[in-house]
Amino acid sequence: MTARPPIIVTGLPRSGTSLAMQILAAGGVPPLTDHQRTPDTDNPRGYFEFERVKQLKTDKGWLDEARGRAVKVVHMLLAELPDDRDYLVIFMRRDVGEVVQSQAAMLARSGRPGAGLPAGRLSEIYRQQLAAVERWLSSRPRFVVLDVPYAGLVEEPALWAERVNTHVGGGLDTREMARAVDPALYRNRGSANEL
Amino acid sequence: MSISTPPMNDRPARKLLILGWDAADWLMIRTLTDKGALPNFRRLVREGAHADLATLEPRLSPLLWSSIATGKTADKHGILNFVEPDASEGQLRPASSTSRRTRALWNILHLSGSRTHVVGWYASHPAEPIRGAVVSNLLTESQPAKPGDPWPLTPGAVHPPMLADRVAGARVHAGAVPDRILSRLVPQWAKLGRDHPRMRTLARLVAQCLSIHGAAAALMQADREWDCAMVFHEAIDTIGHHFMQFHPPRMKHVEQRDFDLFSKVMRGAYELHDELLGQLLRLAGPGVTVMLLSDHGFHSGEQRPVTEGLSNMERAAMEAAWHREHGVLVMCGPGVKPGATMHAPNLLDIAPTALALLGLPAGRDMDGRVLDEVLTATAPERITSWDQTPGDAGEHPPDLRQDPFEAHGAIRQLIDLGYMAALPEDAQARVDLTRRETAFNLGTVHLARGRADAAAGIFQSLADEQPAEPRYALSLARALLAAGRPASAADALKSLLARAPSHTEARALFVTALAASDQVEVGSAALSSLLTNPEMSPGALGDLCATLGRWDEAEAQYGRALASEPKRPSLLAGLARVMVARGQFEVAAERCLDALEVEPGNPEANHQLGVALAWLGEHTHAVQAFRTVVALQPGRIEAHRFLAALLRQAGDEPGAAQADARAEAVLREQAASPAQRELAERQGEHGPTAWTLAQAGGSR
Repeated sequence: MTARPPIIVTGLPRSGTSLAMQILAAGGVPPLTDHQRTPDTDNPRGYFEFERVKQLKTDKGWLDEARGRAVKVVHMLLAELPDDRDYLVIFMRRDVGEVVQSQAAMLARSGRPGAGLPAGRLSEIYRQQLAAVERWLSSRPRFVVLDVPYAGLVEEPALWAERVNTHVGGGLDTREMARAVDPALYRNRGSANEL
Repeated sequence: MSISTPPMNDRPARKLLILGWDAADWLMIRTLTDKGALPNFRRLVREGAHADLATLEPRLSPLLWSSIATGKTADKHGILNFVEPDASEGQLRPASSTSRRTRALWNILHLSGSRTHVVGWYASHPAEPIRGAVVSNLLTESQPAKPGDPWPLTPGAVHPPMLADRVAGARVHAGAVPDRILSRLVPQWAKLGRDHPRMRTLARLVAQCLSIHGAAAALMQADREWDCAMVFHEAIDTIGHHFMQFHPPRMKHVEQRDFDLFSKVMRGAYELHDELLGQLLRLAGPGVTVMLLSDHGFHSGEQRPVTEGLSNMERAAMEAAWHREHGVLVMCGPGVKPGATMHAPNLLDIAPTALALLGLPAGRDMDGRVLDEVLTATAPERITSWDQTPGDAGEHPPDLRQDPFEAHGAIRQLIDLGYMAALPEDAQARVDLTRRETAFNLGTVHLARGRADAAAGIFQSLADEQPAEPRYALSLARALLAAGRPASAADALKSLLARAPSHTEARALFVTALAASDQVEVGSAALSSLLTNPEMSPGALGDLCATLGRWDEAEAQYGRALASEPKRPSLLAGLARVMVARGQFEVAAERCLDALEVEPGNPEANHQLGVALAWLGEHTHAVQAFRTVVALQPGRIEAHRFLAALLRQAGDEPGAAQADARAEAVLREQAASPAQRELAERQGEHGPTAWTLAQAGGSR
């Protein structure tokens, strides 16, 4: 059987990309991760990241390893993916104001300065970035995109597990996927955890 | 509300060609035209109207050409530096069209239904999707090593894409610049060969010029139904920065051999531009209206700076010292009154005047005026703002139009969150330097527009961040002085002098700050050590002595300076100020007229002339002089007040009220604090209040 195309989990940082990786893993899609970034207060179940993704501009050699697996790519690096293969994209969506608030909390814990911009300006720039990425994706037929709202995923995990399963071509364990969503996230959906 | 460009036959200009010659200078041009050179330029001057065109501060081309294209100052249009961060690459890139925060002429013309061709304009990359065509200022990027090698266009350099091949084919490689052109610039170039470093530089700059011309010609041939064409050549400036040092008379540091080789380069550069002008005029066809202009002049005589032997950083800081404050403006063709006199035009007046020539109104948010005095038809009444006029203006999508520093900040955030790789240290350092210099330019714009407190805030932050950079502390002191806070200015200068006790410019400014704080005695003591400082020119010493009211010494210093430069306008204006202070108004007026013969747009000479003429009873001419001053320096409140006093005396109460209202409007626009307002309203012994009292008393 031919392995499915790489599953690219993307979105703004703190929009639920780690959660998406968790449910894919629970459903049976192996994550492409090097475990270099270890779990912490911000993501107690881990980040599911792959360091080489950050060098995507210059290093695309790992992409063959990504066939049939899920890999996180931050939205601003999406356009570095070469147009020479198909991709299944899961685009996590979350209220940008909540994202910026969550990022601020994460930066405060790490002691890093970040953008140094007012939250309103940063939100506006993120919206512009997302619009630019959407425009780019709309002209790339080899990138098949499913938008997944973070709020919808934590409120109705079973429904979104089914949709993700359909998007990636089926064969995933949707019950386990839905169970991977911690109900506490819904109760605390304004908080920063597990994103 | 939609506004349409009137049909060709119903507007003053059927077709409008705006041609930019960066740094073209009247002194150079007159030297050449007096010898019969530049026939095409001479025809425009002969058949049209011409003037000195005042520049803006800071004199940096991307800011200035964006002001020309928008009619707005750089704080409004947002192009504030040569380069900006490229958020996605983490590197620097030339200032781009996506960073401009207001509509340019070509957007306005698109919105009005017109077709425009734009070629090579600063900050025009990526090309905007307007009706007509845009060839961006990155046309000749990534030139290959050899002619004939693959030379792909930079993505986004041409709109519409269907013209890309045609435009790409019009580019000229540096190695393919014709021998006849090189011979005109450097008659003995064959002795050096094309690989000589100076010849390589020259060929690259000439090739860029020929490429811009080739692209403009290609567009005009491909699409003849244009309403406006805007073509920008930077070569007079770029060639000047390398080769004006070799122009006659020979500068002391230039070796005779180099002088012999390269002394004809600048003349040749102007002649080349004139030849290309002739070709463009033929392509544009009969009946075209031309606006040919430069953003500033370029020193070609005694005031040329010496940059030989400086480090790259020092040289970069000195480059603007080449730029004279007046550029050229020539207007010719339908819609223009031949031989008309223009009243102190500046760069901000170009966009409103161009719109008027095409039968369109300017926006009230534009900072310039329509040069009505040179137009055959009355300009349409202004609208509120073209930026607020709904409709397709041929702009990039909103998500591409970002503040590059904010966009870079957002990338920093992603890096700090651990989702993107960190920038190399040197890349981040370059971005930080660019951010500071961009802020510095914004502060300079604010200061030049009289918004002294806003400028001081920016310079204070920069001085706090980089206390070892003297330019930041000096600019802070200047801003504080302009804001009416001389004691704070003196404190800032004390800090700088504690680090660099021998910094001559800081010491001179310190004297000014002390004088403005009424510490004349302390100021005089500080001045005494400067009097023997070889770095201080007699002219600068004259200014300082005058600031302290030491008129005899000021006269002596100006006299020393004039002995070597008898026609320098700033010295003559300084001397006139001394004469005015002494009540010697006839002599003052003569010195001012001497200065204005060389530089009609010198604000100080016009102001002192106005004062002298008012006291001499030549009220009508004094009014003219002050009208010129307020056009040149709207922030000079004393000139507005003098104008009001003269008009009131002549019984023109509405005119007087208007002059006073303009002064108030300027102070409002400057957001002047009480201290700045007090400073702005401060008058000398022969100011408008004293003059009005004298008139009431019947004395002269």
